[in-house]
Amino acid sequence: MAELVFEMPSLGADMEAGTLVAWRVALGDAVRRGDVIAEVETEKGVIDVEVFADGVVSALLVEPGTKVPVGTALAKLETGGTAGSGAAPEAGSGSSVGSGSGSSESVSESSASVSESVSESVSESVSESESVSESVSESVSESVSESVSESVSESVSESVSESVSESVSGAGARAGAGARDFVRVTPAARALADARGVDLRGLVGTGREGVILLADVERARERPVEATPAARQHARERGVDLTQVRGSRPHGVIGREDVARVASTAAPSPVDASPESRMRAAIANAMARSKREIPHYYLTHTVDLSRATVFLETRNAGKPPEARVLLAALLLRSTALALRKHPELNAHWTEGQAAPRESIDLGLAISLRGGGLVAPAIPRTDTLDLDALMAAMVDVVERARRGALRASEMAPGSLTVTSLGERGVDVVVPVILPPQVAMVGFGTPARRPWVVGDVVVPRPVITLSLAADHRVTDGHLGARFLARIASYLESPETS
Amino acid sequence: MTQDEIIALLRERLDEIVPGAAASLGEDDDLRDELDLDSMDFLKLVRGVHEQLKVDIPETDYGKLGTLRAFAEYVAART
Repeated sequence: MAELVFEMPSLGADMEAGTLVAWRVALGDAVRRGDVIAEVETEKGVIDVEVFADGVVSALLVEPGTKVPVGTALAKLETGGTAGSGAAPEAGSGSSVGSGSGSSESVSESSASVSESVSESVSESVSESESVSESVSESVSESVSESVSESVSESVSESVSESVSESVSGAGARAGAGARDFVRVTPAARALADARGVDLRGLVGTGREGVILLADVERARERPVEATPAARQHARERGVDLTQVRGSRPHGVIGREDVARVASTAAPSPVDASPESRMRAAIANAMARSKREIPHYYLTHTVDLSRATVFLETRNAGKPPEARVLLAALLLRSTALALRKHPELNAHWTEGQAAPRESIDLGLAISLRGGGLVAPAIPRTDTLDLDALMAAMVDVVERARRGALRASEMAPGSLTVTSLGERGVDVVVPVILPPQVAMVGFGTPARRPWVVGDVVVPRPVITLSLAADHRVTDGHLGARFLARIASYLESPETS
Repeated sequence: MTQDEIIALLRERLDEIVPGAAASLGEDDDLRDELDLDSMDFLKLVRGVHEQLKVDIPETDYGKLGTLRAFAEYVAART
């Protein structure tokens, strides 16, 4: 009898180590080529690993829950043939069994490259699809998809009973890991649950055969948060999202101490981070959350600016520079007035629903020299006339660039307006700033051919864009909102 | 006021708007491009010049103020 050593496979070029999540086989089991014998967790998710030789499991060397470097011996198989002969991988097998003595470089290389394609396609499924079996069968070649989807649909139930006894010994290696591993869940859902601290055991899966899907974890998060009044107040003050806090009081209620704990870990210490890198980290968090959670829809609308241009030129002519008003102020005022008519877009998405806001406080996206972006709110934007609004904008831009914004201005406003307007881009496709539910963008005003009556004439035009949260509004309302802004810009003297 | 004095003054004002960048600005460099000025920044520059030299610069003339040299010539002709 020959012996094969089953090693931690490389499931991607950048993988250095993996965690053995569970064994799908027990000591003494006979395995056939193609059987899934282990689940390995990498940064890209949990991946089933197959064996490509027939044999009998003679040793399990690593406990579930243990993280080991690629190439570490995980198990031994007794095979019928001579050493290494049963270990030649087939293309698409996705497995990685290296013979202890005789495996050649070419064998391990080819198996690594196959494994890589599998792990990449699985990682795509994290963002793109809800079910592992679906995404894998869509994106991997036939032979791989069969074996992988089989392993998902068939061997989950087997592995549950089989690995119970195995992981009892492994329990304690990672808190809660043993119990968690018996929940049937897609890698994407598990990753989200991990990130948000959602307990998978409390969820009911809506996938095939009760598998927990991404949407199930999303829903779990959207249940109303239970928190003490003091905790809520503290969360508001510190800008902590309560849905991200795990409650330590009875029944999972969030106390002030839980918020304080999150707030203290969330705020990077000034010692190890520069203001720039902290700002970058904050932008990264907000934008990643936006793209992860908010189902954006996008609309654009191009408007003739000739009346607005004449209006501003006439207004500014003969006035000292201190009294002049920029187009940016008119754009902001038009947006504020339009928002009055469409209060649905003036809301924050919190605790799984849209909470209407009472005042219109537009956020103004301001790029900072040396990089970075802030979006302070201008309080009660709709109540300011053009001169007052212009003064408020000059003031807030100047202080933003000096790093002297007030805390109250940093609270999220109604919706944010961005104007990349002077950098030559035609259209901005905004990314909503959570917890807001919409964002308005203005492109660069430019002279373009425009049809007036039956004649084509050059006109200054601008393209407005809207990104809005589809959980809160639909495109019909968004289109009416943009049209409303456009109408104010087309008749500026009335706004 | 000589043209050089006006350019020095413009650099001073620009240094408040874009700290550190104005010193290396060439006299014929495009102000908006080189310093990444937006309309708010440019208005601030015009306001500064108006405040200090009492030169009125109507909006319609902004296009003539593309470089330090052009800006200084424009101002010199009106002081």
